[in-house]
Amino acid sequence: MADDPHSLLAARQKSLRTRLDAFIATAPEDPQWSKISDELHNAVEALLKVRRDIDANRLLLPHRVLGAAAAVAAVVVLVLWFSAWNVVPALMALAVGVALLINPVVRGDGEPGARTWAGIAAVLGALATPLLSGWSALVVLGGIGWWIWRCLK
Amino acid sequence: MMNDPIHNLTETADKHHRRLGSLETALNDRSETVEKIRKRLRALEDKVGQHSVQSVLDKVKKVETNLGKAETRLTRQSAEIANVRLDVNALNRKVRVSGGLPRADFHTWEPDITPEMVQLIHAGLAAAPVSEAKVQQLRAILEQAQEEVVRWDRSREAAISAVRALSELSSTAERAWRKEKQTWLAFRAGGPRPVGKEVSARRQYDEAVRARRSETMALDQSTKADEAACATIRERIEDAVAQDLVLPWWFDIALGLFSPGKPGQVKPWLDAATRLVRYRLLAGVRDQLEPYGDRPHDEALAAEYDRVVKGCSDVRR
Repeated sequence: MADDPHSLLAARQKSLRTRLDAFIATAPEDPQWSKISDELHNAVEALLKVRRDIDANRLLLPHRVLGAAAAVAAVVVLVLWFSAWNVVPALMALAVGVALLINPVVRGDGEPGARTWAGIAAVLGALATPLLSGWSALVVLGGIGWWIWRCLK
Repeated sequence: MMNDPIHNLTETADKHHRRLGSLETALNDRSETVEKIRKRLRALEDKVGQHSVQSVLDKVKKVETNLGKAETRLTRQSAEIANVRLDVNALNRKVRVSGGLPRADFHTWEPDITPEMVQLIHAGLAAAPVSEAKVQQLRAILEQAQEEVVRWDRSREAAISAVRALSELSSTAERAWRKEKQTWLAFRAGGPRPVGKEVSARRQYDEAVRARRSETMALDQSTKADEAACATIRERIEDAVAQDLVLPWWFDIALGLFSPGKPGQVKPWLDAATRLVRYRLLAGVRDQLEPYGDRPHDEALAAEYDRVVKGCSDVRR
């Protein structure tokens, strides 16, 4: 079951433990130390990537659902409550929804979770547009900002 | 006609007319007196201007001239006294020499003062030991470097426990993952263990301490040699003065004849004499007449030269 992400995670964690033991056993003055430290760092990064991929897989369906909901809500708002100010949050929510549906490659370690929050913000912003008009763009914008922030970290 | 108003009026006018007349007479008298006083004042003023001030000025001028003359005479006489004094000095020497008194020897010092001792004193003059403040500063740097190493070690411990936690976390605890990752990255950013800095700081500190110790010891030795040499020199000077030996010319020129005058002035005189002889010994001055020689180029010795010259001129009578 090498393809199973959870067993991959367990395997990575095991190899991380092995490398950690080597790291602990090596004195900082040892000439090999920086090499071993680099290896441990690579193992940590690989492990983080695996965990992120697991997260992304787990959240793939919810993201698609959220994206579809945001896109539909945005279109509905555009059709039924069309006005110059309502266009702003609706188009932004539409963009977020489409992006979630397309599902671009994950970048930051915490990005899957941030995508969820951005999707929720897009749906809420689109739904709130008839009430708040252009102001609900702030909600959508908050979600987008959070997403970008997590991508960069 | 007692109640005739015109008659009354005329009487009153007459009365007033009479009083006016008497007032006018009195006024005339007063103005004459004022005029007289003024005249006398003018006369007095003339007198003061012509005679009194002029005479005072003349007197002052005369006194000044006399003073100048007295001063010139005084200067001439003090110069004469100085000459007489020098003559007395010279005569004193001649009398003593003709009396067959032995000469004091301030040139041969071995074996009491060896050339090694002179070298030591020389070294002591030039020595500038590492200051305590510098040692303290190096110590502070060393402590800082040690503290950095300790901090790094602590950060390593934290990183190890963070990685251990990462190897055991379940995939859903996102917040914990992020925290442990940050601990590890902070450790990575610290770079390798900063022992190089600590080692170099320790080396510098140890060197400074060692240098300070050896220099302090050298200074101690030098001070001891100096004290021994000064004691020898002083003893010889005391002997020479007490036995009325003929002192060298340069000695008399620098310090004058030995007669400090008051009991309290003997010690300063002896101190200055000792310093002078010590300086000649250090600088290698062997001139028969010139007490100090030329000002040396060596900085420490030049400072000593200035001190000796000042000390001698302070005690010379």
